[in-house]
Amino acid sequence: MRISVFERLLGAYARFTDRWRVWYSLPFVLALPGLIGHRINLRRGNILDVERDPKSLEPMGRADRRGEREADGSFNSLGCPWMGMAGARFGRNAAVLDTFGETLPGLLDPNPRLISSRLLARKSFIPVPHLNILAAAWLQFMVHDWLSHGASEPEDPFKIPVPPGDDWPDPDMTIRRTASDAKCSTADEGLPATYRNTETHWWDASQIYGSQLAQQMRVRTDPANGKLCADGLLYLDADGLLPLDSEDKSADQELAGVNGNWWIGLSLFHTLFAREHNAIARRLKAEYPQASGEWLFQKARLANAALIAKIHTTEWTPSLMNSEVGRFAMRSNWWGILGEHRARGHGRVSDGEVISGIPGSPTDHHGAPYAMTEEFTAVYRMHSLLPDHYSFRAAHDDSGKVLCDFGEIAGGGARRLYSKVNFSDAVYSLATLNPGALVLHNYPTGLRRLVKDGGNGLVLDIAAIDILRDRERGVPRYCAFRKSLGMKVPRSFEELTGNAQWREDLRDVYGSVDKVDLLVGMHCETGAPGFGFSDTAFRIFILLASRRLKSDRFFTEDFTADVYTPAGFAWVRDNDFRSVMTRHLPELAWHFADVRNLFFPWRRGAAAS
Amino acid sequence: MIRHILIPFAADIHRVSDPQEIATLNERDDLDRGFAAKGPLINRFLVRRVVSVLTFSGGRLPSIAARGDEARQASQRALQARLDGKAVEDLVGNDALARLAELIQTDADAESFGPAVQQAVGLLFNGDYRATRESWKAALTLDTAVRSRNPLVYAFLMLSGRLRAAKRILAAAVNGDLAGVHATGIAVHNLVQGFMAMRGMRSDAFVSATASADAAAAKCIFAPPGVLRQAVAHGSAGGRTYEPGTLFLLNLAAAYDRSPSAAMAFGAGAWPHCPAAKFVPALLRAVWLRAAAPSREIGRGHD
Repeated sequence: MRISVFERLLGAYARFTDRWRVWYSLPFVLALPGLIGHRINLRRGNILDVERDPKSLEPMGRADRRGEREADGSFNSLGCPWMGMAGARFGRNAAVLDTFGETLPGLLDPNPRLISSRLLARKSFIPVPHLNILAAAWLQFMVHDWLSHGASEPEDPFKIPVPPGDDWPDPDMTIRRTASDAKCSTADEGLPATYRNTETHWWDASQIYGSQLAQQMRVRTDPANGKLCADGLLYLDADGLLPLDSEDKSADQELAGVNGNWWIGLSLFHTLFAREHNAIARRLKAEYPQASGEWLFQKARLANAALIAKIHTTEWTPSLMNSEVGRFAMRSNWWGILGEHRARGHGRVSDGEVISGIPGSPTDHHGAPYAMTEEFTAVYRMHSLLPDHYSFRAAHDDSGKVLCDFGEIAGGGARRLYSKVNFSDAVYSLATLNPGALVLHNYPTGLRRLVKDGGNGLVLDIAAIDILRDRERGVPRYCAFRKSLGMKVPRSFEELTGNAQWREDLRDVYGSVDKVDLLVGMHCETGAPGFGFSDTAFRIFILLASRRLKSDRFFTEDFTADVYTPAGFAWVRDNDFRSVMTRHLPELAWHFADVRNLFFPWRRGAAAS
Repeated sequence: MIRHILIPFAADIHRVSDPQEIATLNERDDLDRGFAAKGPLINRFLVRRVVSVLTFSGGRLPSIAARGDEARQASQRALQARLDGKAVEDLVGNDALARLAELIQTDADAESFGPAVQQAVGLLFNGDYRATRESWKAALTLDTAVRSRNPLVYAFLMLSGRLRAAKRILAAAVNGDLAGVHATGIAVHNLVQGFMAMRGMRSDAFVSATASADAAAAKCIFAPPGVLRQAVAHGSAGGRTYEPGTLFLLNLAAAYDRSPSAAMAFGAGAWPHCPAAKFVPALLRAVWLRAAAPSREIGRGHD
């Protein structure tokens, strides 16, 4: 990886200022170069490849590799076809030798169930007043695009002894292991275990379209006649809802490219962006009436995926990084520091990502093949965003319709909800409720004793699983994690958190600050003002949020009207979350008309007639 | 990453620390260890120095033997077969391994580890090997002659005869086996560094309770910081051209940090591979298991 002298200076500046003051405590003009410098440093030292023998990967390859996204994510990099494809390994952000999975007895020190009960369990709901639940649902909608470790292994599960006095029904808690990498070679001997991503690593909306051709065909097929929908459309039923998944064990489960861990929030976004895909496809059909259904589908997918990436970069992330620097930094990722109006009016002024934004700039993998990372997976554990109780109300007068717990709107329950509350009211309801804060003692009660739908009565404590997963996959614990990112490491519980009660709780459970798990540490941090997550997580975000764009040919060198088509390219340029919502749910426009960001709570009450 | 140090008529050296670049360079036929006195002045000086330090009784140590050297290839194959066989098993029942495990459990320094590690390594070449203060001092001298950046130090060691004496001591202890001289005089220092790191891991109760033997071994492998290759023909690498006499300094230690693998640490899979690629991790694992076992109870509690 080659970096310029200017970039070196920015990196040095970031390291220097970090010694004295964290970036967000600096004035805007000092904080911004610090952030850019941190990203430079992270790109130099924290993008690590573990795909040692990629010959086992088999990219599918089709006719138009240049102008379309492959179903399995291959051929995004034409020089390295397997890069980022489904089945490729997760990369690393921490030094590879620091990522060996923990072994017993340390693996259970402290007991994950104890952490779940004593530190994470929700006492009373702590909301984030400036966000709505669409923000939480969007997060999961995105994560399903980027990554999955696949189904856990049924053999040889972890047996976690349940601490005395715990009300868990069994003496041991059974947690299945992460699916192991079945394609290891001699090059992996003696090195940390690796895991494979069952989804494409790219930001290609694979949660909608699937990461395999067969799944892609399923979401495009009319279940009534078994034929592909005409003109490149995705299948939606007469009510504009997703089809049901006939192959899923649980009743009423909706079909999507990725439909695991389903709930109403996911259902809303999958439905909304399936509708958006069809709107794009119809627009392209009008512009290119002679084009085949396959071509229309592929070009609509390109535009839909780019629009989702744009919404995430310029709207979702700024809503969670609700400060002047946060908003500016994320919007600059898309439009550059010269801003949206300059970019829309005059296009790029240079190849530089800082000046004119990443889309359209040269592709750069920063020294390692692009891949999602285990550390990214870890910092995106944000289950505390979910409330336990939901009220679904009518949009036209805010009158209550259904009160329910999370379990009732999960799995097939999401679809069953539509029989009581229509799609529009469901969106309105989530848009007017607050998510939970990512702090200690705020983990959803329902997720700490979740009966797995279709899982033969399997009961899960997701909080304990979150803790165990990081240890199993060799994600360093909180202090070691921060050290690996070049951040300041707390030497005591006092340095970790200013909350005296939390300090006592932590000391009681962990004994030593070095043992604090990443998830717990991040939930204790006092983050940047206006930020919905910790500064530790943010460091991974500034690295990966840029990398998802910068490594992807379809967001960089091939982010052009030639590849997207002029109509598709204009669609991405001219649309945002507000226009998507207005197009598909115009009846809700009054509720979000005055909201600066649609991930902020919408106006409640009766719309003016 | 390749950094090119080019001073007209003085130096033409590529410093490489990128794992992929190193792997690519290892595949090239036009980079070798023949070390002919070619190229600019500093290149010639470096080549002469390396050859003079790592030659004994007219024979080159295997680490600077040319690719096509049949004797090197035969010796490499034979040693690897021996080390891949039951060398570690033999060591497990031996006092040498017990001594290493014992040192891991104390606050021993490099001076204590040195002879102990040299003893364990020396036994691979001579069943009656006895590491002494003198043999360890000889290893330090040879290592200094190889690594010191101060030309005066090198000149002093050469002119005073200390370097020659050191090599003689090391060679005598392994019955003149040049691979043994390399192992007990050069490679031994990376192992000492590894055992020092292992001692640090062992002293941390939490690390000791969570780390597997594989983890301990991988973290205690130290690759050489600088390995030299010389171009024997015109070619290009990393977007830059080179010519006969151009030197490539491969920083395997930096590459291993970024992309740890047997390929980086031991050149596994490439022609200059180290015959101890399996032996060293196995030795480290065996010592860790023996040294860390008692402390693995420490992690209990708090649950």
